Amino acid sequence: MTLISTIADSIAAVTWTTADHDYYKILWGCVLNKYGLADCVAEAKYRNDLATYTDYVAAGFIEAQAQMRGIYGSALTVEIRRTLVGMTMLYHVPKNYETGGVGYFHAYRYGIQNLYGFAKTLNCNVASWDSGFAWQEAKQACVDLGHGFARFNPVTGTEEGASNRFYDENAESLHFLLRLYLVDPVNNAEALTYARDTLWTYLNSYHWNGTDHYDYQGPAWTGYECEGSFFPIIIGELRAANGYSLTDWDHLLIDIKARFLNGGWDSPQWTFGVTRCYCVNHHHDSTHQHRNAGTLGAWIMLHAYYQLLDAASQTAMTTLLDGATKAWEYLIGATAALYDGASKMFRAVNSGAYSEQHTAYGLVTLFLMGIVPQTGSLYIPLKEFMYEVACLNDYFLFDYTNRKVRIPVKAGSIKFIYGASSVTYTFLSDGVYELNFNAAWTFIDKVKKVGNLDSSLAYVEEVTEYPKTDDSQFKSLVSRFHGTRGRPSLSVTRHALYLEGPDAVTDWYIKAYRESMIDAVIVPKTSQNLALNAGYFVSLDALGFTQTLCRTGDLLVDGAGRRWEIKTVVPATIGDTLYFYQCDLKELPLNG
Amino acid sequence: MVDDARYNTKVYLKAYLNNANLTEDNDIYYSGAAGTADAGGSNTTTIDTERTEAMDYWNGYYIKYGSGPNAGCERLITDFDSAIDKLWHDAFPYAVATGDTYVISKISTQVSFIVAYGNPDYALERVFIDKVVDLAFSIGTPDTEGLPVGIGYLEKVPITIWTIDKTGITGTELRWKAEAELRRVCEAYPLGSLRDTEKISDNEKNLGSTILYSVTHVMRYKRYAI
Repeated sequence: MTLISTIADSIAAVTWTTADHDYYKILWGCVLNKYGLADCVAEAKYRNDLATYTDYVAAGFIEAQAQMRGIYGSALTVEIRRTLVGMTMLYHVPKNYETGGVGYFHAYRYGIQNLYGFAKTLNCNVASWDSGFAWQEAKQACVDLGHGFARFNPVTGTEEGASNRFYDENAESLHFLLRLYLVDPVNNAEALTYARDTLWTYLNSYHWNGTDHYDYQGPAWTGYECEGSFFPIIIGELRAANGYSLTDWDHLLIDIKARFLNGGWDSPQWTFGVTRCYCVNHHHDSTHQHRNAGTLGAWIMLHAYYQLLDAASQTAMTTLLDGATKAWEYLIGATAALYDGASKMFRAVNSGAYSEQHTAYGLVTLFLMGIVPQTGSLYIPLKEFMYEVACLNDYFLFDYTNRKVRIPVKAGSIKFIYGASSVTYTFLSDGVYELNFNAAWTFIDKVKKVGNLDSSLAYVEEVTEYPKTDDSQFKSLVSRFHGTRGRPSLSVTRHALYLEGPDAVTDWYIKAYRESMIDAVIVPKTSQNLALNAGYFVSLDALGFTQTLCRTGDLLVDGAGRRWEIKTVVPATIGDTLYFYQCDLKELPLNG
Repeated sequence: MVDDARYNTKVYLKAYLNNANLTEDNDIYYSGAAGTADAGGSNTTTIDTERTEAMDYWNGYYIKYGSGPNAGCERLITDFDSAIDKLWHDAFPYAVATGDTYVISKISTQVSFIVAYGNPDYALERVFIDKVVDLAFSIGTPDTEGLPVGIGYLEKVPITIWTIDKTGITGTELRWKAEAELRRVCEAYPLGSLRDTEKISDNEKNLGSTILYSVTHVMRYKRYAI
C-alpha cells in the first residue's frame, strides 16, 4: 500500500457527482479538482433561494471560497448580490446565530467576513455592510467584555464572552477586526491598532503561560488545546498586516515547536497525556478526542511555518512526515481511529459515523502529507477562511486523475512520497508550480512554473524577488526628501491588482483590488529636486520607491488622495540584495 | 442584404482562434532534435557527440527521454557546451545511460492562450503573469466599408497578438508562432472572399522586468451581398 493508492481508494469512496449541499465537501472538492464554478453557483443559488439567515451564511461561505479559489463569473456575482441584500443585519454586522429568540453576530460562526469586501467591490448594500461601523461595533463588544467576544448584538447591546478562550473568542475576535481593517486600511486603521495593541497584547498577558505555549483559557483552564492548529494562521495574518512585524512574535514560534515538534509524536498536541494519538487531540490533559479538521489545520499551519523554523524543528517536522512510519500511515492507522479501512472513509472524530465530508478533509490532509520539505518548502498564503478552516487558495490543486499537483513553493528541494519510492525535485525560484507525475507517482515527468506568488497576500515571510536587506538604505533614501520642497508621501495605500474569472462579454479577466498600507516614497514630477540621486529621473508623472514587491497595474494612493498607477517596476539591487523597488507612476485623472 | 454571419465576424473569428493549434508539431521555426545518449551522462547531464550545434544553442529547450529509466520524463536544459557535446538539465530521477533515446523540443505542450475582444482596462501583462497565460489574441472592432450596391462590404478586422517571455521560449518566438497560426486560421475562415492579412504594427514594450511583445494584423476580405 502506498500513499497514492490510499488517496485513490478514498477518492473512489466519495460520490463526487453530487455535492449534497455540503459546502465543506465543495471547499475541499475544489482543491481535489472535483468541483468548479457551476457547482459553486448552484450551491449559492440553492442557499439564497432558501433565504434563511443560516442559508445566507452558507451562501456567503461558498461565494467567498469560490473567489479564493479563483472561481468567479457573472452568475456568481448575481448570487453574491443576493446574499448581500438578503442577509439580516444587526446594525452593521450580519446575524449568523440565534439563541433564545435573539439574533447575534457570532465570532466563530460567521464565515462571512469576506462579504464586506464584496459589498465594497460591487458597491452593493454598502450602507449595511459598512466595515467602518462594523469594526467599531465589534470593538465595543470587546471593550465591554474586557477580552474577545463569542457573540454580540449591537442593537440590543447584548454581549457574550463565553469562556474567554485563546482562540475561539480572542483570536477569532481579533481576526474579525483584522478582516475589517483589510477591507479599508485607510479608514479602518484603528481596527488593526486595537487588534494588535489590545487583543494580541491581552493574549500574551493572559493566555501565554510564560514559558512555551498559549493556554486554552489562560489560568482558568491551562494546557494545550486543539485550536493551536489554527491560532498561528490568524496571528501570522496579523503580523503580515502589520508590516511583517509583531511584538511577542517569538511566543508564537515557541508555541508551535512545543505543541507539535519538540517531542515528535509525543508532543502535547499529538497526545492525550502520555497516550499517542498520531493526530490532533482535543485537549492534552483533559479531553481524549481526535480531531480530523484540526489535523488538517495542523499540517497546513506546519507547512506554512516550516521556512521560519530552526533546523532542529524542521528535522522534527520532516521526521513526522517521513519517519520509519510516516504521518499518513499513522493517520489511517487504528490508533488515530479516524479512518475506516473497509469503506476507505474518514470521520470527524474518533467515534461516530464516517462521512464524505470528512473524507474530503482527510484526502486534503493526505495530499499535504505527501510533501516533505527539505531546503525548499510550501509558501502558503495565510488565510483563516472561517472557524477551524485554514484555507488553501488556488495555488493548490491535487488532480489525481491527471496525476497533476499544483503547489506554491519556497525555492529549494522538496521530497514527494506519494509512490512506492520517493522523488525529490529542486525548485530554482519561488513561485507556483505544476508537477506531472508518472503513473506510479515515483517520477516527476514534468515541472512547470505557472506563476509568481502574489505579494499582496499574507505569508509567514514577505514575498520578494530578492533577498531583502535591512531597511537602512531605504530609510537613507527617504531621509533625503525630508525638508525639501514637495515632501513625498510615505504612508501609502496600495491597491494590489488581482484578476478574477473571465468577463462574460470580452473574455478578459475581471479586475479587482486588495488594499494594504505600505511604506513608499512618491516623488511627483513637479517636485523633482536634488534629493533624487543621479540616475533617477521622473519619466512619467511620478517616481515611486518602496521595499514592498509591487506589480505593474497596482494603484498607489498617497496622503493627499492622489491615485497613481504603477507602469513599471525595477528592483534596485546590488548583487542579489534588494534595496528597494523603483516604480514609474502615472497619475490617474480622477482622485478617489 | 448580406449574410447574417457578417454581423458576427468577431464571434466566428473568436471561435476559430479558440481552436488554434500552437503545439510544436506546427512549429515552423524550430525543428528540435533527437538523439541517443553516449556514455558519461548523469541525472543532470547528457552527453551526445551528435550534438554539434553552437555553444548554448539548446539553452532553454526541453529534453525528454523516450527509453531507459527516465522514459517519459522531461526536463529543462540549462546549459549546452558544444566543445564537449554536453547538455546540463534539471535533474532526472535516474542517471542517463548509454543508448537512452531522447528528443529536444522547445515547447512540448499546447501553448496556454486566450482569445478576447478589445483590450482590458488594466495592465495587460498581469494576464500573463497572474493567469498563467502564454499568449493572447485580441480581436478589435471590425471596420466595414460599403462596396457598390448589391456587391457587399469590405471588412477589416484588427487582430493583435500579445506575448511575454516564458521559460523555454521567448516572447518573440511565441509571437512568430502565433502569427503563422493566425494566417492559417484566416485562410481557413469560411465566410466571404479570400482573406489576406496585413501587418500594421510590431512592438516590444519594455516594462522594467517584463517585455510585452505585440503584433497587430488586419484581416481584410469582402463580404458579399446575398
